[in-house]
Amino acid sequence: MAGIEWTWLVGGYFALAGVGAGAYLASATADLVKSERYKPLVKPGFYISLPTAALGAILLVLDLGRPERFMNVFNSPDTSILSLGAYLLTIFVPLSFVTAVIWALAPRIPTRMRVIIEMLGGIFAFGVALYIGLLLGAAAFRPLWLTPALPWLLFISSMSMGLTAIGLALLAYKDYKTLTDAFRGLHKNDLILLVLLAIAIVGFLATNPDPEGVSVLLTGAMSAAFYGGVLLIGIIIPAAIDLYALRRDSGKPLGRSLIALGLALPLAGGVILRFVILFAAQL
Amino acid sequence: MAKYAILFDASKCVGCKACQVACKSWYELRSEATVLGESFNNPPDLTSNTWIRINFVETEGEHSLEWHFQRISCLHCEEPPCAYNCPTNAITKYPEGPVVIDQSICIGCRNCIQSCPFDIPRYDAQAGVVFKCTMCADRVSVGREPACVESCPFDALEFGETETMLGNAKTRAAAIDGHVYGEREAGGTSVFYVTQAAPREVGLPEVSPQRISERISQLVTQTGLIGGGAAVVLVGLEMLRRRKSEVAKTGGGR
Repeated sequence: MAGIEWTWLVGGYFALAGVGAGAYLASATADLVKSERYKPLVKPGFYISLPTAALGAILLVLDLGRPERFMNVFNSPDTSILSLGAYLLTIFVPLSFVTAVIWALAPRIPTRMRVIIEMLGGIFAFGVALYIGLLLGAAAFRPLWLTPALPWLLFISSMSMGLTAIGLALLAYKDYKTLTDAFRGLHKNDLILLVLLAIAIVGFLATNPDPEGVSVLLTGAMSAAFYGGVLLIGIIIPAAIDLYALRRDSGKPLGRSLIALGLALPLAGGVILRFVILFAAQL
Repeated sequence: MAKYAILFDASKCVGCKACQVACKSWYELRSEATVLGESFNNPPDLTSNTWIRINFVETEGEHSLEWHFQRISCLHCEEPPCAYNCPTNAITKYPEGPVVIDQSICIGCRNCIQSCPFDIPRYDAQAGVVFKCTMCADRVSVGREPACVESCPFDALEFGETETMLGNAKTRAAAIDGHVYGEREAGGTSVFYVTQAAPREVGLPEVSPQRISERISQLVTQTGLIGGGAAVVLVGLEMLRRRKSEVAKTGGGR
């Protein structure tokens, strides 16, 4: 039987593209709805999006047996989701670059141009975050991936990863105590995304056509990573931290290390989720 | 243009592996190191150098142990998932039947391996590209049979026009009270198997009759419907929240 064909380079690409697309979407949304509360998130989000998405694309090319021929993915006619992803990335990464430049040069760039670029970038970020589940679903040899819940599961996870990556960046380079409102918003949105993620995981398992693959996740070789990594580290502990932060009477941000933990865990959980799903189907 | 297919009649196969040798010989493929494994399978799996092998499956019959031999190689699907999902168009389904990988275009993404429901293509890490059976497209194009078919001493392998092969398969299956495999799988293929036991019992994978294009459009539609449904619910919830906060504001003045 064919073995594990897609390993850590592909998993790494899924994770980095997820962070990049999620961070871009979160920032573009915050900027386009002119949110005062989330204003501090916008710039770091775009700065995260560019290097993660670009590095992800590089990993994807390095995974090829003949990386020097990667331009062949643009051969037409294209019926493969893999080609669709290549087009999405090829447009998204430059848009992400342009957006980062705009924010580096702000306020010298007219707002209208920024809005247009961010809307376009947002559409492609959405595509990048969503298509990976479709790519996996099209792989007829791996029934575990054939469910319409998977694209949305990975999409929600991308948003969660992007948002928490932005939060970590805010923690690292600003006096975070002054950002009470932004952090409250981060905790709230993180919690919402974690709840949606849990629902999507249930959907993925419930609609799955591959009982053998599901048992690899729930009781087999990947069960420790699934329960410990995806559920406990990725959802339960960070959700508890978010709840604790939101329920505090003072409303002040938590200590730096506790916030960092609350943000790093969903990010780690998102990475583990991708590897678990990638490997469970190929075992 | 005639369209061709291979018929493999498992009830005639004696497991001599002449087809394996003929394939190696025609394509000058390296031999594999012998491995002692389960049953008499050798080599135990397809590789980038072994494009056809005979699988030995033992089942318990009424009074004795029964041996079943199965051809494990490409079925040359009518709408090959490997070709459909190949991002470079390195894989072509020829109108005559063969599905062929052009290794000079292949980028080694292995999406074809993930996409083949019959588990056929194999990656050569050294060459960085994927290989599989070609149905001897080169021989077929000059009017010859595939090497495996020509070498079969018991006529367990037959080659001819698709309709004839399918007709022969059905007639033979009816005569031995057996099964035809490959007619419906993956939406239809260019290789038909006749098996005495149920295909699943003799190691042939259960493959959905859905074509890959249908599978993907169904997946995309369902994904879109879920997204649309979720968007409606989220917008509804947001409107409800706004209405509530408006009511709370006006209510406060009362």
